[in-house]
Amino acid sequence: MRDHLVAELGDAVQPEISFGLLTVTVTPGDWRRVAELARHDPELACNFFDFLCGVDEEADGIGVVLHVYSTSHHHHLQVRALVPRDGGQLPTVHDLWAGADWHERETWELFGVVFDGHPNLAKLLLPEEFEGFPLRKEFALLAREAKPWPGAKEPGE
Amino acid sequence: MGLVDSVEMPQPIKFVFNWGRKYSLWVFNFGLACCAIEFIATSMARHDFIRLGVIPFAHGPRQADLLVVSGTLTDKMAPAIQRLYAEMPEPKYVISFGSCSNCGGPYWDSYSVTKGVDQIIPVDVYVPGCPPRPEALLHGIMKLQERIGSESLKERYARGELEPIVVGAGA
Amino acid sequence: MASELDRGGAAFQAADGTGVGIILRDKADRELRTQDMTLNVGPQHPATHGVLRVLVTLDGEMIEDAQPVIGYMHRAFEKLAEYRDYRQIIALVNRHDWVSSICNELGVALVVEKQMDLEVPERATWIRMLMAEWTRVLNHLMFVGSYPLELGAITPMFYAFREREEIQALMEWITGGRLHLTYCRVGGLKQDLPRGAIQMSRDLVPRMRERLKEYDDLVLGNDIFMARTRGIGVLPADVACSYGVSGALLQASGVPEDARRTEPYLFYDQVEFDVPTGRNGDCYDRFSMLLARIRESLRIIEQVHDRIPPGPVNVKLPKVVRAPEGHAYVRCENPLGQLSYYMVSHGEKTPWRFKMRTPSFNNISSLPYLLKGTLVPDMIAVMGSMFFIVGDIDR
Repeated sequence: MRDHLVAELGDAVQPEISFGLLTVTVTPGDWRRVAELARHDPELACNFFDFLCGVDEEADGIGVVLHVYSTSHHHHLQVRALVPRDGGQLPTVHDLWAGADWHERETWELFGVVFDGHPNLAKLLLPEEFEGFPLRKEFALLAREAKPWPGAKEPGE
Repeated sequence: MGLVDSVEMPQPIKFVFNWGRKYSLWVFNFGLACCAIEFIATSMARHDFIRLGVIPFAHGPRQADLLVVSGTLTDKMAPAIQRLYAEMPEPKYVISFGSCSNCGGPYWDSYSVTKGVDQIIPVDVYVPGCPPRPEALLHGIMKLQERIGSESLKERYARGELEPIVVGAGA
Repeated sequence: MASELDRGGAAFQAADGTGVGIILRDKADRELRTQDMTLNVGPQHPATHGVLRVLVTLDGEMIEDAQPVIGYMHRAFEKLAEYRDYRQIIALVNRHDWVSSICNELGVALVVEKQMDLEVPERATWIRMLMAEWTRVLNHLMFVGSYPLELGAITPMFYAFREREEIQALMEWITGGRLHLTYCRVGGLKQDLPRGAIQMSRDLVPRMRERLKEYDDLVLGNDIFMARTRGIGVLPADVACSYGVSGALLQASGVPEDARRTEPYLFYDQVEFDVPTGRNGDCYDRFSMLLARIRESLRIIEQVHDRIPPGPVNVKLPKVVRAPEGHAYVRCENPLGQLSYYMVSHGEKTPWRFKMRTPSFNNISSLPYLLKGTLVPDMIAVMGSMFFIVGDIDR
C-alpha cells in the first residue's frame, strides 16, 4: 500500500511506518487530494472513518492527524499535516466521511485549526462562554497553578 | 411560607410530621455519570432502597423531596442543576453521591469540571467513594433520615447554613 | 398524518420571527399555516441515558431535524492525560465508558506496551481476556435492561441487574472493585487471581446461559417490542462506515467488522467465536446483536478457563515508566464499538498527546441522519438503540 501511495502521489507524501502503522505526512495544500485518493481509489478504499485529531507540536505548528480504515482490505492509513499556530487552515473532508463533521468541530474548538468548507464550525464539547483553545500547550490548568498538588509526589515519584 | 417556618411544633406533632416525611422521600435522580450506575444498582433488587421508603421514580423535580447528585458536574451542566434545584419545593434535601460531586474528584484539575456540587447548591449528606458502594448510599440515606426525624423545620429555614453529614467520617 | 395534506406547500416566515413554516392545503382546499417547533430533549431526561441533549425541530410529530448537543460530561480527559503518568491514566480512563471499565484500561496498557515493546506474560494476557469478556457481558446486560425500560417494559431491568450483581461479585472477588476496576497495569496486571476465582467463573457461565433464554422470551418475542423496533431507525452499511459507527451497531447493519477477528489483539486468534451480523440494520437487529454477542462472549470465556497457564502476571518495571519517543496506535473492540488510542510520546513520564477515539462519539454523530423523518416515540426507540454512554461521547 505504501508503494501504491508513493506511485500515485510522488513527492507530495513522506511515508513512514511506525509500529505497524502507515503514516503519510503531507503539506496542507495536498490534504484534500490525499484524502480523496484514500476514499475513492479502489486499492485503498478507506471507507471507515476512525478519527481526526490535533497534536500540538509547539514550535513546528499544530499537527492534524486523520486516521481511516478500509473494511474491505483491512488496512489502516494515517495522514498527517502541519499547520501554523495562528490562522492554521485545512480543507474539510466531511463530504468524504460524514463522521469527520464532529471531529473537525472538536479539533477546531480545542486547537484552533479552521476547516474551510465546514458547514457548522461551532463549539461542540465546551460551553459557549469558554475562551481559549484548551488543548494547546500554552493553556495552563488553573487548578494546578492555584493549588499545589497536595500529595507532594509528582506523577511517577 | 406558613405556620411551619414561624412556629416551633410541639413534640408529638413534630414527631409524627417528621416520621411521615422521612419515610416517604421521593428521589429525583440526577444521575450524571458512573455513580448513577451504582445508584441504579442500589435501587434494584439486591440493595433495595425502596424498603427505606425512598422511592426512585419521581416524575420530575417538582414532585421530589430528595436530589441525589451522582456523577461529575461540568460547567456546562451547572445552570441546569441550579434550575432543577430551584424547581424543587421545600423542604428539600441533597445527597452528594461520589467524589466527583463532592469535590471534583479525579478531575480536580480539569478546565471544564465544577469542583463539587456544593459550589452551586447546598448539600446535606456527602457520600465519598469512587464510586461509593451501594451500602454507602444506604448508610447516607439512613443518616439523612435520622436527621430529618429530629429536625425542626423552623430552625432549618431560619439558620440558612447547613451542617452537612459526611458518611464514613468517624462517628 | 401527513398523507392527508400535501406537504409541498409554499414557505412563509412567521410574523413574530419565531421560525419558518409552510402553508398547507388540506382535502377541502383550506389553507392551514403550520410552523415547525423546536423541542429540547434533555439534558436531564429519563430516556436520554445521561446528559445528552437533542434539539429536535418538529412538524407535528414528525422530526425534521435533530441536532445532538453534547459536552455536558466533557471532563477534559485528553488534557489531563498530559499531566498524569501511565498508571494514573489507567485509573482515570476507567471512567469514560463507565459500564465496561477494564476494556478501556486494556487499550491504554496495550498502546504503552506497544510503544515500549514490552513482552507481557502469557498468564496476564489470558486473564485480561477473561476479564474483558466478562466486562463485555456486563456492558451488554446494562443495555439489555435499559433499552426495554425506555420502550415501557420495566421487568427486564430487574432481571438484567440481577445478572450484573452476580458478575460484579466475581469482579469484586478478583479485583476488589465493583465498577471501576483499575486492574490492568503496563506490563500485565495488578495482582494474580485469588483462590477460587476460576471456579467461580466456571460456575457462573451455565447460570448466565440459562438466564439468557428468559430475555429471548420476555423481550425479543414480545409483540409490542417487535412493533416498536422492527423497521425503525434503519442504518445502511455504507452510511455507517462513513460515520465511523462501529461495534454492535455496525454488525447489525450487516458489516462483520470486529477488531477481535480482523486484527486480533491479546489471544483472540486462538479462541473460536463467531461475529454475528444482522440483516436490516434496524433497532430490533441492534438489540438482538447484544444477546448474540453475550452468547459469543460466554463461549470465549469457557475456552479461556482451560487455557490460563501458571506463571507471573506482570513484568518488573523501573520506578518511573517512560515510553520512548514516537507515536503508536492501538485498536480495541470495546463492548460499545471500536475504541482506539493514539499516543504521541516525547520520551517523558507523561504522554505528549493521548487521543482516545471513543465509539459513542461517532455513533451519536449519526443521529441526525437516523432521526430525520421519524416520529417522536420512535426517536426514543432509535436513541436507545444507539447504545451509547455519555462519558464515552464527551470524554
